[in-house]
Amino acid sequence: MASISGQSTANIDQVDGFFTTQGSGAFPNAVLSSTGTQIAYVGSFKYNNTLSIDFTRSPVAPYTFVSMAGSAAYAQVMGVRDDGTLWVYATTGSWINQMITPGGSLNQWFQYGTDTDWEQVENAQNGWGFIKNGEYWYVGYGPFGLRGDGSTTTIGAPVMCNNSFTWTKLAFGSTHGALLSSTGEVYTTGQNNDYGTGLGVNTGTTTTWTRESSSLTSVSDISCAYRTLKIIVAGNVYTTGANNFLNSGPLVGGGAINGPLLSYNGGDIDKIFAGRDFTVGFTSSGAVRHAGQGFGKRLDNISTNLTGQTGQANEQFTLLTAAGNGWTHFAPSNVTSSTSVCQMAIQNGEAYASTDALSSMWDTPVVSKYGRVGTSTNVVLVFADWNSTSGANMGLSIS
Amino acid sequence: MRVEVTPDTDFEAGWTDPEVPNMFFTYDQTSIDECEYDEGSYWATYQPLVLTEDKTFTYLSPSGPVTFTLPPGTYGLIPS
Repeated sequence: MASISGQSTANIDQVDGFFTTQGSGAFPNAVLSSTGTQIAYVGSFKYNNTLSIDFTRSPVAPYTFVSMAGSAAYAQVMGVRDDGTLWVYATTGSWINQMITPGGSLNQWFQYGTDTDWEQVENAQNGWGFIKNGEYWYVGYGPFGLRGDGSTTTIGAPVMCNNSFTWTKLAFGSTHGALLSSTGEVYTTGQNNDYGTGLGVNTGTTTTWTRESSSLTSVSDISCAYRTLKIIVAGNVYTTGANNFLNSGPLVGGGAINGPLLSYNGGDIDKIFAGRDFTVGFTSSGAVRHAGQGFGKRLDNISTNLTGQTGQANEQFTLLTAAGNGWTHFAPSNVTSSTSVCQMAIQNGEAYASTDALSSMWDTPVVSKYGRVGTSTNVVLVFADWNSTSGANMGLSIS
Repeated sequence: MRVEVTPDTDFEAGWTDPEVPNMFFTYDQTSIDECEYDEGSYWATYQPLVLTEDKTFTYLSPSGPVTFTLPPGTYGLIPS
């Protein structure tokens, strides 16, 4: 294959001085506007820091991903393309070192292996999980129990850890996770703090995928954030775990929830997205319901927390009418043990981002409110992760 | 629970309880630096699983789902 400066011509964007799309080389602040994927790292910023950010941006990948996740702590991104291949961009080899050698190298996108049956990738603290041909795979730190196969051994390349069911979705918080089966059942593993695994215990670490204690059926969606799990059944929300800022819904009180318990019964939630201290639900028309912390989180750009009971002005999971319809994807920085600081979302194919301090990264003022990212109307995927030491890791994929 | 540890203690290793095959227990601390130093010794803490009523789990073993019920009691104590 032809190459320039060690890069194949297919990756010409990764060579300084050459670029076929915006967002690389001489235009570090431009946002991708055509087919491809762009990721960005921002290093070492804290809450409400100044806008003078020491940031670097990786080159654009000429691929569109159907699933994507990033680890801010280790400046790594993984994506699954629509052909079922798995791709990696990493600036460090932490926890995934055996994926990088000898198949790829740091600081450029590379395909991991040749398999074409990868379906989903998800990041946790110090590890990554995958759905691959309906099976659950894991790579990374073992002692949090995220392998779910009874082992706590750390592994540097993905291994198949469970194929008891055909798994359709994986959700990770920081140190616990949940799997949704094609039969509509939910199993969890990982640290049991605050009843986040929904197993009726709040100590120790579960090391084997175990069915949540309410034995829910007909589950249609799941989402995890730090020490919490949200489950959708018939448009209603069931919650277990941490309930900071009363982010679970009006039917449960404060404190950690020993669930899963019914926390919202409006019957209209189609997709659920758990953040740290807040929860977003999309209806079938893409309208937005919100519960919990509001500052920098609410898609209507209003800062008020939504922590009240049914009928109150600040009712949890109230409809954010000013946000409109057409929301299809939401990516909170849900793995952090601190409050979520950066979020991305898609409305009618347009990407939006909200952070406490990231305006110089995207060339748009998005401080504490959602701002448009780029000009594309064909954004199909976004992700966001944040770490208090390393900063943010965000990205978007355009078809 | 408060237990004595030493600089040689492996805080990641943890321990299991044969009565609870789907769980793993560790210290609350992740290194000796986080442990209390008192009367010439280092002390770590951990939280055993205390059940006041029956608790049923269904976990996925390599051969399929396994359901078991734990009676009330204290589990996850450090093996002596």
